[in-house]
Amino acid sequence: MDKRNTWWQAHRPTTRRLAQLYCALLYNANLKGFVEGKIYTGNVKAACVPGLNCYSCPGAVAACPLGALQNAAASAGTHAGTYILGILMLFGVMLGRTICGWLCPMGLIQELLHKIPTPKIRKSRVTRVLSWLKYAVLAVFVMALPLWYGVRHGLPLPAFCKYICPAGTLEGAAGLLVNEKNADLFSMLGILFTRKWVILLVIGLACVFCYRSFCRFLCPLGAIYGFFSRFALIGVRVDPKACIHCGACVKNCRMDVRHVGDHECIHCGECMNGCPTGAIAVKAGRVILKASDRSCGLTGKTVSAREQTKRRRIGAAVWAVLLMVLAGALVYFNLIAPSAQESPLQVVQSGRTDTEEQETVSEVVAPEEVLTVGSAVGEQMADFTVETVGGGNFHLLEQRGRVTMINLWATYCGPCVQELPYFCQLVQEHPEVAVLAVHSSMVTEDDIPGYLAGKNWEGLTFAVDTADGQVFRTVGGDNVLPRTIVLNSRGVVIYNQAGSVTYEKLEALLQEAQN
Amino acid sequence: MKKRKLFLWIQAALCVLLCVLFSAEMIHMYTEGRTLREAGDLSVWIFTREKVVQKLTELLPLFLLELVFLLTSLFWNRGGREVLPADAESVRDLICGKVNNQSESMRKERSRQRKLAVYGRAGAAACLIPVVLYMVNPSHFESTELETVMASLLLHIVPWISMALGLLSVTEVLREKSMVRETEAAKAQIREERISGSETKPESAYKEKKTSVRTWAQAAMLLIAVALILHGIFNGSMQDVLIKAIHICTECIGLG
Repeated sequence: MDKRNTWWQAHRPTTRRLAQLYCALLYNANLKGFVEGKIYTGNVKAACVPGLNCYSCPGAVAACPLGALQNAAASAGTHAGTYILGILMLFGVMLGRTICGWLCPMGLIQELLHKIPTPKIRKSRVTRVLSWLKYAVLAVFVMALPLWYGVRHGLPLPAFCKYICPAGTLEGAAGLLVNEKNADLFSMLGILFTRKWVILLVIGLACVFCYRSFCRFLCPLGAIYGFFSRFALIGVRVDPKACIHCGACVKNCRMDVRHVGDHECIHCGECMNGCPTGAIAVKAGRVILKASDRSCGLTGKTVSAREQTKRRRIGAAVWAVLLMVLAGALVYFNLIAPSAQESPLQVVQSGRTDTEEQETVSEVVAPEEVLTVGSAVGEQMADFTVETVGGGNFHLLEQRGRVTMINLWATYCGPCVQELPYFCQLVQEHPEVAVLAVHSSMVTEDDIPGYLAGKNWEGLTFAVDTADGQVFRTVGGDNVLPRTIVLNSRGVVIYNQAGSVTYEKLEALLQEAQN
Repeated sequence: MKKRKLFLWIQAALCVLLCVLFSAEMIHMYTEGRTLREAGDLSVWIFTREKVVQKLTELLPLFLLELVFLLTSLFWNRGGREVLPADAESVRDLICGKVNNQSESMRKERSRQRKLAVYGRAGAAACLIPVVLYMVNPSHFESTELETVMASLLLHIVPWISMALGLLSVTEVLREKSMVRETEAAKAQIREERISGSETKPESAYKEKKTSVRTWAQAAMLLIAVALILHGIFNGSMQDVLIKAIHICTECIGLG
């Protein structure tokens, strides 16, 4: 019995671990997304979570602050991203790097990986130096590259997400790919996917041997919150009257701190137990949130039994409220929450865009072929009309007799902007092909014609989808961009896939359509 | 104890092996698919669900073995915290704080530490100059062939950043050694002072920090943050965040 108690004492989850688990669940409260293989698209996603949690994770209910910051840097040419700057500043001033220690799901994953019993690499002067690397990552990958490419080339480049972020690979890519309903996403996997998985594995392995490797050496979000370490309202504080400067706190800390509460301190509070005088406590202003129960050797103060009971009661009440919030979030996001736009991903799988379109059409195809209307390969694309940029209309039915390519894109989608020149090249070399590029109805820039004026994309017909997303729905588009649909001269879909295309791929598709 | 160490090393080897094999499988799948594509078959998918499942199944025995080791360790491990070495700087500050008169060797070591810090930082700053020069040159970022741009960028900045970090690491290690020597000198000085009968220095008096400036800064920052958020709601940057968040950014999550 005693042995079991000892084991439990050693392994029971700490308050911090429970808080990390709680946050991971709260940030990813859209559990039905994992089952359906879709992401949550409600308006709540305009809010940001404080920790690193990919917004392309099927469970994510709010935006990732780093992704949003890169997006803001990319669109700095049109308007300043003051919203995300304000959010980061608010989180920084309120919590600082307490977020890293208590509220970040990536922190939880790293700490769990470090629990695997292996020989460990301890902190040293070298790891302290390496901790400066995250500031270089912040400057180059989060700020400079997105800002330059966004402003100069109008090309959104979320460089950190694209080349480094393990959260996106683990939560977003793996979260979507494990669902059978998203089997078509495999079509776009290539070098980027391979590289990011290898990076994820390397980071994971580093975390097994070295405590919070990603957080300490690479995470730009930690670097941002580190700027606010002097000003954060909540965090670990040392009582200078009780401190004997023994250095036990720095010795026991596994982060690369010089002193408690500096820019490397994640305010985990583990130093509280090692402090011989009980001088350390987690405080919000002057209110003590968490403190060691041990007596204070220097001042002689002890925490009375009454005080301990009071603390326990307050803690229980706080947890009760938090659990109610979590239950409310789970009910709301899984049963009640409306989506900002209905994703037709499931519909695409079955090859139907609308039940009323399931009727057969025979007047537009050869009499011996009776095709169903739909957007899946082998089906007849339903007719639609859309107003083009610069005036006029595009009728799909009018394009019968020639190969038609429909590209779904958006200005804020990097791969979309990168592949449109290939379509221009195709039209120049094969003028008989009709190409319609439809911008998502969710427009960040009011001036799409202005954006297009700055580009030399000649030969393509541009349109913006209707507010209710009629074109996207008809052609089988969803919230995965870019998507290319190729119709042969009879209007039959021969290709409909999300993901980037190359010029060679387009030529091959054209040949296939012409045959 | 030996058994425990052996267990840890086996566990470490298993982790490394799993990651290496998984990476190798991924790279193999990619090169295989790529070869087929280069042969002209553009309809081939480099990765398919079936291929990935098959490769993962091949790794399953190793994964299960790792799981068994993990579960074993859960019951074996008594959960004690690893003992970390004392921080040389903290120890130095603690010991040197008790010395009344600094000895010559202590002064020398302290001066050496200062010099090393300055040299290290100056060297690192010098190494970062080529990085900054590369970053501010627009001609390096004119191309939209991002793979080429990134490869060139990494090729030009990684060696310099590595050199800067290496230089800082070397100076930090030397400083640490100097700190240890200074601590030893301080201990000897304390012993001498005790023998000579001089009183030990009292604990440094607590200095009340001025908190009012910080409070004002916090309040100002909070106000600025709220103002920025409100501005963002009206200038469309909140809408930006929403739109980006409700679309799956395929390249952000590494899909392609």
